[in-house]
Amino acid sequence: MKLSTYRYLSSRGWDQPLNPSLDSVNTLLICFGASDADCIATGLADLRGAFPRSIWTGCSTAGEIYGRSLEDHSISVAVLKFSHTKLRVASCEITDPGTSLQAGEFLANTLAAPDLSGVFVLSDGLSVNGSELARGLSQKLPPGVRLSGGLAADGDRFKNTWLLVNRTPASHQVVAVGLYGDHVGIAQGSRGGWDVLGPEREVTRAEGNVLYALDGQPALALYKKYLGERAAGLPATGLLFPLAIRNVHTEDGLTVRTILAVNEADSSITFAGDIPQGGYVRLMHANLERLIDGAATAASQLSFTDGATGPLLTVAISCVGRRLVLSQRTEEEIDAVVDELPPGSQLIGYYSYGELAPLASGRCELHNQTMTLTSFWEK
Amino acid sequence: MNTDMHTLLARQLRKLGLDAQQPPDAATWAKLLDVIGQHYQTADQDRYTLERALAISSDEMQALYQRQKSSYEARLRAVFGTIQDLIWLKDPAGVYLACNPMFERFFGAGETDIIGKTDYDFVSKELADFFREHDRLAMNKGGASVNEEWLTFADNGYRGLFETVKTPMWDDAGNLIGVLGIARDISARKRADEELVRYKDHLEEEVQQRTADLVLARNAAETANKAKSVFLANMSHELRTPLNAILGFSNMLRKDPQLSREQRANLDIINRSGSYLLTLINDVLEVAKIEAGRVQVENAAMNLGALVRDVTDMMRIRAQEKGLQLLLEQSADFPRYIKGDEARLRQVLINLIGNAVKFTRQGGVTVRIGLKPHDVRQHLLIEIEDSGPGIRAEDQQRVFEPFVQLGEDASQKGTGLGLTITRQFVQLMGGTLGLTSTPGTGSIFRVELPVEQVESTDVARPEIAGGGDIAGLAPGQPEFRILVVEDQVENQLLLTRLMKNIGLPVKVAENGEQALELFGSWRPHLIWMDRRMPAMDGMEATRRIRELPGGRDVKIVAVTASAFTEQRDEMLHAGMDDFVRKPYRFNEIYECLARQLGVKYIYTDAPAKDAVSDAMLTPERLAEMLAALPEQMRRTLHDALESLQSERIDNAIDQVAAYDEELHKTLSRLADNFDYPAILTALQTHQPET
Repeated sequence: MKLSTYRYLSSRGWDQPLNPSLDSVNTLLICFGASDADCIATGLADLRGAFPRSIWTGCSTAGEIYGRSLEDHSISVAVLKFSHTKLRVASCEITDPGTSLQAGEFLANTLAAPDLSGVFVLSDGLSVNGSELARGLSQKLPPGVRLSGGLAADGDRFKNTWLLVNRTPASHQVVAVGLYGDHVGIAQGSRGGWDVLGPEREVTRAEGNVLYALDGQPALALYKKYLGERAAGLPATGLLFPLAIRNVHTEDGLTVRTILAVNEADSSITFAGDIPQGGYVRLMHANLERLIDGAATAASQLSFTDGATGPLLTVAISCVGRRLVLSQRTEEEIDAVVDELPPGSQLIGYYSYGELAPLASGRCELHNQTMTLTSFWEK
Repeated sequence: MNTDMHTLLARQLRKLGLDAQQPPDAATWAKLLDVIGQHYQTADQDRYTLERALAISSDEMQALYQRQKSSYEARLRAVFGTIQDLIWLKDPAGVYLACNPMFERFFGAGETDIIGKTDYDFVSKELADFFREHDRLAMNKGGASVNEEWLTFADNGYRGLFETVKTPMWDDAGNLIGVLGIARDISARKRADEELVRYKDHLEEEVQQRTADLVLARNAAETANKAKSVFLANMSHELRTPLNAILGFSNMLRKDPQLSREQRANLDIINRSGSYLLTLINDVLEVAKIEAGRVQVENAAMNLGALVRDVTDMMRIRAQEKGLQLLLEQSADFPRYIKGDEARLRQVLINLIGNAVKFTRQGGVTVRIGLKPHDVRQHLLIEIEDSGPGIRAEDQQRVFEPFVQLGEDASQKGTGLGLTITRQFVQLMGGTLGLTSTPGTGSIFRVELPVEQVESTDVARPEIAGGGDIAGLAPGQPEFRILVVEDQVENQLLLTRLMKNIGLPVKVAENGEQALELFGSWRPHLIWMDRRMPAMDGMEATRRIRELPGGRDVKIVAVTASAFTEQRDEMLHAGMDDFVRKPYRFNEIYECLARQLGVKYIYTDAPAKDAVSDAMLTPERLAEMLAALPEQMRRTLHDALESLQSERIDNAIDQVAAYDEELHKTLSRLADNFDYPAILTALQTHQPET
C-alpha cells in the first residue's frame, strides 16, 4: 500500500503537490472538508483532477484533523493505493431518519461478499438515525467484518452536512466503502472519557431518537435548567451535557448520546441516536483531563499486531461535543492520540455529529462524545 | 521556554510563532491577548456551567434523597404503626432510641417523650429492673431472649400476658447498637388454650357421665333380661311341677293291667302330649338359661362315634319315612373319642339333622364329620347338607334368632328355638355354627368345634340300667324308712306311691317344721326333700336336721323343679346328699335310692340271666327277631310306625304279643319311649323280598 496525506487550506492551498500516480481503481481517497463547500470548491476540483479513478469517500465536518493540527475551512485528504485489496463503494440517499435501518441494510447487502474484510461508512449527520443505520449494517454484514465510521457535521450550526457522492458534495447521503481480501489490516479503538452527573433518570417518553420526558418532566426544561443562560446557545450548548444510556448488557457500559436539535414547540430534543423509552439515563459532563486521557486510551486500544509494518493511516473521528468543551485545548486530545500511534504513521480525521464503532460485545453502535479511531494498512 | 508553562499557553504561543524569551510585536501581542482573553472567557463559561450543574445536581440529589427517605420512613412508620406488637429499641445503657405507637400506649407517652428516657422514668423500679435484667440477658447471650410477662398499659389500664423477644442489634461495623424488643399479646391465645383444656376436661366428664349412664342403662337392661330369664325359669318350674304329676301318674296308670285298651290309648295320648309339652318347656327353659348365663358346659370323655351313629340311626328312620336319603360321611381322621358335652352335642346333632330332614321334601341329607384341614388347633368339622328349599340370604342370619320360623308351611311345628339353642350350645362349646344356602338348591349348616381327642379307654361305659320294672326290694335288706317332704299333694302322692310300690315304709311331711318333727320321732333313713315350700323351705329344713342329734346320718335328697345347675352346689352346700330333678323318671328315683342307701331290687319281669333284655338288645338282634315275624305283621307294624299314630302302633305291637312275647315287650318299651326309629331301623335291616 502506498499512502499520501494532503491538506488544503482555503487561504493557502495544498501543503504539498498532489501525486496523481497513486490514482487507481484500488485507490481509496478519504477526504474531510469544511461544511461550507464553496470555500473548498477549488481544492475538491484539484482532487478530482489528480485522482479521477480512485474510490472516493468523504464528508463535511466540525473541524478537520490533519496530523497534530486542527483546522476549519480546510480539506484533510488521505490517498491509499492498495496493492492487493479490492474496493467497492455504495451509497444511498437518506432524507427520513425513519429509513435509517433500511439504508444500513441496503448498503450492507450491496457490499456483502465472502472476502469482505471491513466497511468504512460515512453518513449525513442530520437526517439520519445513527443507531438504526448501525443496526441495519450490523445485521446484514457477514460476521467478522470490521465496521466503523461516523456522521458528517456542520460545525456548531446543525444545519446542513454533505457527503461526497461521485466526487461531489451532496446532502442526505450515506456512503459506505467495502475493503476486500485478506491483505487489508484494520484496527479500531473508541473511548469517551466523560463523567456522569446527577441522579439516574427514567426515560418516560421517547420515540426513536427524539426524547420528550425524563422522570415525567419535559427533557428540554431539564437541559435549560442546567444550561442556565447558555441555553440560548442550544442545540450546540446541549453538547455540554450528553446523555449516558445504561445498556441492557452491563459489559457494554454506557452509550453516549449528543443533542442534534431541539424543538421548543413540544419541548423535545433530538439526539444522534435512539433514546430507549423505559431506559435509564444520566447527564454527563466533561472533565477536560479525562477527555484527553480518553482519546489516548482509544489510540492505545488499536491493535497493530497483524503485520502493520508499512504505511499506516489512522482516521480519527471525534465528537463535536468534545471540541466544544475542550475549546482551545482540543488539539491536546489529538496530540494524545498521535503520541500513542506508531512512529511514521499518519493521521487525518474530523469532528463529527456521531461515531460508529463496535461495543465490547462486538455489536456496532452509534456513539457520541467519543474519540473513535480506525487504522488501515496492507499486509 | 519555561518547561512548567501551561500546555495551553505554550500551544497559544507556538500557534502565534512566539518564543517565551522574545517579546512579541504589537500585532502578535494583540493576537496573544485575544486568544488568552478568549480562553478566560471560555473558562468562565465552563466554570459557570460546571458550578451551575453542580448546584442543580446537588439540589436534585438532595430532593431525591429526601423523597426516598421520607417514602422509606413513611413506609417504615406505616409498618410499625400497623403492627399490633409492641416494638422498641434501647441503647446498651437502656435509653430508648425508638418505639412504635403500640408501645406508646404501654407507657402512655409519645415517642418523642420516650426517646432519651429509660424504663425507670415510666414504670416501677421493680419492673424496670426486671426489664433491664432481660435486656442484659439478651446482650450477654448475643441472641434472642424470650420470656412471658404480664404488662399493664398506662393509657387504658389494659393488662395482658405478653411474649417478649429481645434481640441485640449490631451495626455494620459490629458495634452494639442496643436491644430490639418485640412484645406480643398472647392473652387471647392463652385464654383459648385454657378454654380448650377446660373444654377437654369437661368433655371427659361428660364422657364419664354418659358412660356411667350407659352402664346404668346396660345394668338395667341386663337386670330386666335376667328378670325375664328368671321369670321364664320360674314359670317353667311352675309348669314342670304339675307336668311331673301328669306324666308320673299317667305312667303309673299305664301299668295297671286292668286297663282297657282304649283307656291305655287315652293314657298314651296324655303321656305323649305331656312329653311334648315338656320338650317345649325345656326348650324355652334352655334359652332362658343360656340368656341368663346359667349354662355350664360339661367336658367329659365321650364316644363321638357312637353318638353320631345313634343320632344318624335315629334320624335315618325319619328320613326314610319321607323318602329321603340320609348319608353319613366320616373322614378317616374323624376323632372317635373326644372330650366334650355329650348331651349338648347330641342335641346339636339332633336339631340340625332333624331340621334338615324336616324341611327337605326330596333328595337327601348328608352328614359329614371330620377334622378341619390345615388347622393349628384341632377343630371338629360337622356339615349337614340338605337338598331342601334353602334359605334366602336375607334370612340366613334371622334363622338363628329366637322364635323365628321361615316358610309358609304352617304344619311345621316347634317353638322356633331349635337353631337358637343349637347355635348357643355350639358357641358355649367354643365353636361356631355357620350357614351357606342357595334358595332352591339346599343348605349346609357347618359346625366347627375345638376338640380334644382322648383314648377309648378314657370313656366311661354307661351303666347298664337294670332291665325290666322294679317289682320290689330284694330280700335280706334292712328296713329303710323314707320321709317325703313335699307341700304339693300330687307330688306327695306320686313319691309315696313309688316308695310303697317297692314296699318301703314312707311318711309325708307337708313342710319343713313337720319334717323336723318327724325326723325326731320317726328317724327316717332317707328324706325326699322338696326344695320350695312355704314357711320353711327344703334348704333351711335340711340345715336344721343336720344340726339335730343323728341328723348327720340321714340321707337327704333334694327333689327340685329348679332349672339352674348351680343350685345343685347350693343344695349340696346346705347339707343335701343328692338331688333329683322334676319331672323325674321313676328309675331316677329308684337309682337314687340304690345310690344313697345301697337298696337292691327285684324286677317283676326280670328276664332270665341268659335272656335278652330290651336294653341289651342289639339292633342286630332286634332286627333278627323282627325278621322272623310274618310278612303281614311286619308290614302292619311298619305302616303304623310311619303313620306315627300311637294307637295304630300300639295295636300293631300288641299283635306281636301272640307271636313272640319277648319281642312284644321290647317293642312296647321302645314305643313307650317313642323310640319308633329304632324299631323302624330294625325292620328295614332285614327287608324281606317283596
